[in-house]
Amino acid sequence: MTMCSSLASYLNRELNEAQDAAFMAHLADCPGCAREVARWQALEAGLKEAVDRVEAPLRNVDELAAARMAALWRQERNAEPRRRSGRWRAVAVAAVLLALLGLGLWRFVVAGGSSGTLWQAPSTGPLTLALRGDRIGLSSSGEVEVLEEGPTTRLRLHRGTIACAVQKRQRGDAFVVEAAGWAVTVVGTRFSVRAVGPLSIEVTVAQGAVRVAGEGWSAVVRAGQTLRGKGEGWHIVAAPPPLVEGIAALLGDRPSVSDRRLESAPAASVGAVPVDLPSASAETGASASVPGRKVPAVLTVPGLRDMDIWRDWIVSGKTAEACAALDRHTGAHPMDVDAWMLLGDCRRKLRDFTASADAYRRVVSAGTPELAGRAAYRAGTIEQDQLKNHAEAVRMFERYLQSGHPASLAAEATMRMAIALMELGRTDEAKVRLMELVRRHEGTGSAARARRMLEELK
Amino acid sequence: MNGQQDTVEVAGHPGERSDRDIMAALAAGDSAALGALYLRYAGLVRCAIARCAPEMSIGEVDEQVQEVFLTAARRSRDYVESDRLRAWLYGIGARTARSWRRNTWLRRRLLKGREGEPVGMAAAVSSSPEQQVGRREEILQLLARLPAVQREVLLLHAVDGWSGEEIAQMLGITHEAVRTRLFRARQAMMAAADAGLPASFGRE
Repeated sequence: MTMCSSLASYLNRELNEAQDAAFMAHLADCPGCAREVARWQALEAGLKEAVDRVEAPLRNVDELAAARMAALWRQERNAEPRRRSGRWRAVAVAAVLLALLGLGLWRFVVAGGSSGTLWQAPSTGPLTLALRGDRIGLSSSGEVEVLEEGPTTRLRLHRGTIACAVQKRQRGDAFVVEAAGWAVTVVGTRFSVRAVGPLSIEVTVAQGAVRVAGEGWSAVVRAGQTLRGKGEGWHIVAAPPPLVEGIAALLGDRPSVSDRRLESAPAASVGAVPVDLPSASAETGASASVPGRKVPAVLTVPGLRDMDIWRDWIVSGKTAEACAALDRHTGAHPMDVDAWMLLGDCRRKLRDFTASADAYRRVVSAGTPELAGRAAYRAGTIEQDQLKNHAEAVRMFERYLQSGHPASLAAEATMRMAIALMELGRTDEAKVRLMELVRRHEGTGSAARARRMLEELK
Repeated sequence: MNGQQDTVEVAGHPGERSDRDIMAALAAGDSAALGALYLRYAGLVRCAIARCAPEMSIGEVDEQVQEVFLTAARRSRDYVESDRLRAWLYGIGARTARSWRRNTWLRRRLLKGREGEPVGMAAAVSSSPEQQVGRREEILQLLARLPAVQREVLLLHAVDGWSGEEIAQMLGITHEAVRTRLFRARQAMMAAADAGLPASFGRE
C-alpha cells in the first residue's frame, strides 16, 4: 500500500500523529498528492468562511427566546395535572349547579395533592377549597393556581378574589399568595386578596396579620385594615365592613352574604393615610408609618419583582410595553444594571440595534464582572453583525475577554475578534488572536477553524 | 412542580453548568434548564434544520427548533450521559427537518413560490445570477449542487469540524458511509470548481 492511498484518510483527519507526520513527509516527495491537498484545503477554507458568514445570523440566540422555550415547556407540563383535575372540576361544577338550583349549598372541594393545579370557580357562584387544613374561598369566575402545597403553601391568583383562613404554621413555614406582582405572606390568619389591576392589589385582613412584599419594601397589614394601591402610592385604611363581611362569605361562613361584596366594594378613601415607602437604596430596616401606629417594614424582596413582570410581558409578546416600562425605570434608576441588560435584550428584539448596544454598554461600564462580560459579548455581536462597526466590536470583545465571564464564550469571542480585526485590515493582530485560540482551545471546532484561517493568512 | 413560578425566569448563563448538569436538572423537572439548553444549542439546531431543509422560511425553522427542544425535554430521562449532547440534539434536528420535508413535499410542490423568506444557504444562493459575484457565492453554488446526503456530511466535517465517527453517530449511518459520502463530495466539489470557475477560484 502506497502513501498516496492515505490521501483520503489524511483529508478526513483520520490519521494518528505518526501517520500524519509520515504523510506530510510524503507530500514533500509527491507533487500529485501535494497538489490535491492544496486544492482541497483552499476550497475547504473558502467553504468554511462562506458558510460561517451565511449561518452567523442563525447562530444568534437571545435569552428571551430561551425564556420563552422554558415557559412553553412549563405550560406543557402544567397542562397534564390540570387535565387530571378536570374530571374533579366537572363533577364539582355539576354539583354546584344542582346545589344552586335550590339547595343553597356551597361547593366544597378537598384539594389534596393539588400542586400545579389551576382551580376555576364557576360563574354561578364561589368555590371553596380545603388545602391541608387551610380554607380558600374563590369568588365566582375566579381563577387560582396552587403552586405548592404543604407546610409551605403557595398560591397564585390569576383572576377574581380569594379569601383565606390559614392555620398557624411552624417557624420557617408560610402561606403565600402571589397576585399582580406582589406576594402576601401569612402565618395564621383570615384575609382576602384581590388583584385590581396591573401591579395593584387590595389586601383586607379580618384576623391576625399579613405581610405584603414587593420590590424593595413590604408592609404589615393587621386585622381590620385594608391595604390598597399600586406603584408608588399605597394606602392602609380601616377596612370597610363590606370587605370584612366578604371574607366570611367567600369562606362559606356566611353564605347569605354575597361574595360580590369583595369584588365591588372600593377601599374607603376617607381617612386614607399614604404609606411612606422607604427608599429602595436603603440597606437597613425602615418603616412605613401610619399616624399613631408604626408599621414595621423590611427591605427584603421575597416576592416577585417588576423585572419578573417585564420578562413575562416580553415572553407573552408585549415587548414594546416592556421596553417602555424599562425606559422609564432606567431613567429613574440609572444604576440598575439588570434593567439595562433586559432593556438591551428588548431593544434587540425590536431590532433597534443601536439602542440595544447602548444599553449593553451601560452594563459594561457599571455591572459586575460577570454581567459586564455578558453584556460586552452581546454588544460586540451587535456591533459586528448588525451595525458593521468592527472597531467597536473589537473593543467589546476585548472587554469580554478581560472579564473572563462567561468562560464558555471565550473561543467564539476570540474568533469573532479575529474576524473583526481582519475586516479592519489588522491582519497581524488577527493572527495573534487566532494563534491564541488554537493554543487555548485545542481540540475544539473553533481551534480547527482558526488553524485553517492561519494557513490561509500565510 | 414544587415552588415553580409561572413567571419567566431567564435561564442562568449556560456557561455556568455542564451539559450533564443541565440534562439532569431537566430530567428532574427544572423548566429553566430547558432555557439553558436552548441558549447553548439553539444555534446549532437552527443550522442543522436549515441545512437539511433549505426550503424552510425563518418562521418555520424557529417552529421546528422549538419542537426539537420540546422533544429533547420529553426525552430527557432517556438521555444517556455518555451521549454527546451536541450530536444528540443535532440528530434530533436533522430528523425533524427531514420529517418536515417528507410531510410538506406536496404543499411545496403546489405552491408557486416560497411562503416566507429562505434562510441560511438557501438565501445566499437564491439571489439572481447577476448578483452572484465573488468567491463566496461561487462556493455556495457548488455546495448547492451536491446531493443532500453528501452536502450534509461535508458541512459537518469541513465546516463544523466533526470527526467521521461523530458524524456517523449523529446521522445514524456507518463510518464507512460517512467516508464514502465525504470522498464523493470532495471529488464533486473539486471537479465542479475545475470545470466552471474563473482562474481566481481557490486562490487568494
